[in-house]
Amino acid sequence: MVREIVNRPTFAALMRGEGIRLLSVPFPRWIAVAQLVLAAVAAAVIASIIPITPSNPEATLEIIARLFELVAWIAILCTTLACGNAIGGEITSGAIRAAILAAPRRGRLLCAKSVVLFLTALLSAAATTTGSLAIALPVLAAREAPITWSFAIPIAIAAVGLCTSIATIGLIAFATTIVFRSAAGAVLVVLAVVFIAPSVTAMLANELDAPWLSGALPSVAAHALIMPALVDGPWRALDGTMPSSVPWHGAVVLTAWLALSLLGAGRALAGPIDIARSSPPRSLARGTGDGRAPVGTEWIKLRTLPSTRWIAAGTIAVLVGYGAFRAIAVDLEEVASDLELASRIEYVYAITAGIGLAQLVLGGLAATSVTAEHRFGTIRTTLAATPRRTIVSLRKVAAVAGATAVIALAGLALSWGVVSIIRAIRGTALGITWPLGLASVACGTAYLVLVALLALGIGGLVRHAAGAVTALVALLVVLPSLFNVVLAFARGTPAVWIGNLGAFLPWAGERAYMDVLLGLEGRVFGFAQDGALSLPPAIGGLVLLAWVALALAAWIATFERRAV
Amino acid sequence: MCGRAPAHSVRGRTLGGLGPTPGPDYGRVVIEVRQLVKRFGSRTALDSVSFTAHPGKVTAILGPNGSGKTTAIRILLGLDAADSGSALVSGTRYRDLRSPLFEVGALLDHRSAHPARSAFDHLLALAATHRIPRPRVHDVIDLTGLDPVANARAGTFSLGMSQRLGIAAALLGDPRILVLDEPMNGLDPEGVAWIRSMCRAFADEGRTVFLSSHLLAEVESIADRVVILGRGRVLADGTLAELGAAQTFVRVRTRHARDLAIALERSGATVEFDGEDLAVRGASAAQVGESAARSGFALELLSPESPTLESIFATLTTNEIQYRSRGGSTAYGPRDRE
Repeated sequence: MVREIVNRPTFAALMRGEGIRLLSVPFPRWIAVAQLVLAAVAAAVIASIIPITPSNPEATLEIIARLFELVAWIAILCTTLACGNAIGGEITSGAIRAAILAAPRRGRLLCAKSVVLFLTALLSAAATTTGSLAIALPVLAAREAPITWSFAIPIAIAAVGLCTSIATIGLIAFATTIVFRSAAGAVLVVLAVVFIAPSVTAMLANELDAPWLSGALPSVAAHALIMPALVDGPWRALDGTMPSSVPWHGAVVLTAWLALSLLGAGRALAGPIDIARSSPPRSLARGTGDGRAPVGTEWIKLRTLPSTRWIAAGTIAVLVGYGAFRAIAVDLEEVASDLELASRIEYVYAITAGIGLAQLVLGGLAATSVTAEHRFGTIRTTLAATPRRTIVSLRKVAAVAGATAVIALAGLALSWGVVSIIRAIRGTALGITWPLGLASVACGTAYLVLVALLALGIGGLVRHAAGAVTALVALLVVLPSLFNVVLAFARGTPAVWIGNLGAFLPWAGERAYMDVLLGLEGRVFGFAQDGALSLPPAIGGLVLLAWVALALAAWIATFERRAV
Repeated sequence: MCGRAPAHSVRGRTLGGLGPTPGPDYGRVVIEVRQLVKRFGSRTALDSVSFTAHPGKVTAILGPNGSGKTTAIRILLGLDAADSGSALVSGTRYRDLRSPLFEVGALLDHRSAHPARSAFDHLLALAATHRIPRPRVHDVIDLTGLDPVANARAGTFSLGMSQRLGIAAALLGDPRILVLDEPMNGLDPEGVAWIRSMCRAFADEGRTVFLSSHLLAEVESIADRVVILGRGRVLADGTLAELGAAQTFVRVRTRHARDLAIALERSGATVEFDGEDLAVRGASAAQVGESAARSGFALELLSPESPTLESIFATLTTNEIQYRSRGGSTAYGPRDRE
């Protein structure tokens, strides 16, 4: 019967095959559902708490703009994870080999995969956008916000921009995963470029007087595609750092990023892609079972992975580079009052400038130290050597804490030295004392170690590198921003408690040590007049400790019972 | 495919590689590997490897771990690029095949399905690329005995089940050529017997079977031709009969071994001592018996022996290893090079 049917693998047929592949794995489906639900919740919150100006229809469009901004954050996070995972799973499981054997022309295969993934991501983004509008608009109408039919066109244009940019960033994550041959690394890189790069680049662009630098980032380009239709005039982010842009510019920038990443993917796919490059820790082949060095075995496993050395070098480079950059770039001359305090603040900020990115990289290291064992099944070997699982967990905690402490300490100490030298050369050593520098290094190291342990706990719970990295980025970067946006609008309204929840994210730890360093201990537990909650530094530190303890305890407790 | 031979026209058992078998297709070469060279860094995985496979025959590529079997198959299937040389399937490179699944069914490495995808979906996605109708997916699932687990996630499969899923994928397009890398790995005895009969039936229909193995005993009963690889080089290539003929001998046990040996050598045979026994080459058992009877020697044992693939293999690879270790003791041995 088949014998008579001779069909070439046409492009349409390849796309059908890819469609079946994409939809037959549950994980991306769950992520799509999560995206839908999170966006719906965000829509409900935004539409209920933002103050309404009944006389000004423009204000309603401004609310939709804020909503789309939140939806973009949520959807980029979810879509990046889903797209990276969709292809990452094919590569690491070797399933891509079957696909290549059925379609040996790899360029066509890449095109078919890209088109299917883009369309699927587009559909999912469209459902998310429509869903959030379907919740937000009725709520706004019920609160008697002015809504007219004339909104339809700007909202539609912005929605198209929103969905296209989300799907494009998803496709970039897909291509980056092929280049890296691992979803976790690619997701980390893409999320860092989208969520962390803008603030640094804005500073750089400001210093160099080159606003196009910021505009060259994919997230800024995405904003340029979404916002102008909704907000009259140049759109500015909350922190006022992003330049105004025009939509065509956003489209060009996004296309350029996409083309670049797809080109890299094409090159990577031309090689022997079906042999997974990543491998289980080499140390398992070595005799480490003499029991004399209890932490030793985990330490060796961590130390012998090439990725650990890369991450260590990268983290140190990030910490020193950001520190040096900030020490060079920021001028204090504009500060009018209390120059000494400003100088001290800037000193601490410069030494720890790279922490925002370093925490994600070190978190990725900590999370993969446990997820890799599950991924490659070496956890069974580990447990065969040490059947008491809690001991295995505690050894991992010690090894990760030790490794991240060494890396963070080295990076921050170097950063301290470099920043001090630069400040001395520039003649702006006012208010700088060595105890302050030492305290910055110590507090920064402690914070990074705690975040790494949090990541370890998350990694042990989800057993999935890309998922753990995404959860980490969500906890450390995206959720604080979301809650800040909510807080900004909810001040003085009964809904302020939703914004106040943001104070209890792990990020509270970073604020806490900053406050201690800068001698701002004056903050006490209490509510401001507008209802915003402030936590004393000690509580902030305790919040982070509580998160770490919760994650580790949940991991260790469930590890005892779960099958490996 | 216009060139495909209808199944019924070539049905009938071919005799294991003894001379050319009649039939229009049998002289054709469908797998042709010429002067293949592949290096990984300083290590040479394939050193000018050439071999062919023909319709109606089961060709086995044999060799110990690391001898280059899988590398050769990967290059043949376009999964890896050779440094030089060519590997052609049906006269063209694999990547230039118009409908690869109808032409070649391949099984590499077990576990080549996504762990979270069901076996059925895995096959359905492959089928979709060639517009193979859904019933055919059910057919291969039936054929490979995967029915009970067709909707389970492939990650939950045992080694044997993964292997069956790989074979199901290979059979999906009802291909003219089967390329199987270590197909017996992880299968139970029933599964091994099933693979053997499947390969035999496949070749008997005039199609081509090319498989690799290090389980020599498994291939011996089905392979018409064997290519023996060692350290990236072809050590032997031929029919089982050809490889066996070179080493067939007659084992003789007698109290007059010395005298019999002299008598036999005088008549032109070669005689070696194998413990107490004599190993006689160049004379049949009947000739040895006659010669002994003429001299009046009583024989305790007279047995014609043809070596198993195992012993051929052992002889060849031992030589190879000796060759290599002599090479290693030259001025720049492998250790010095590192």
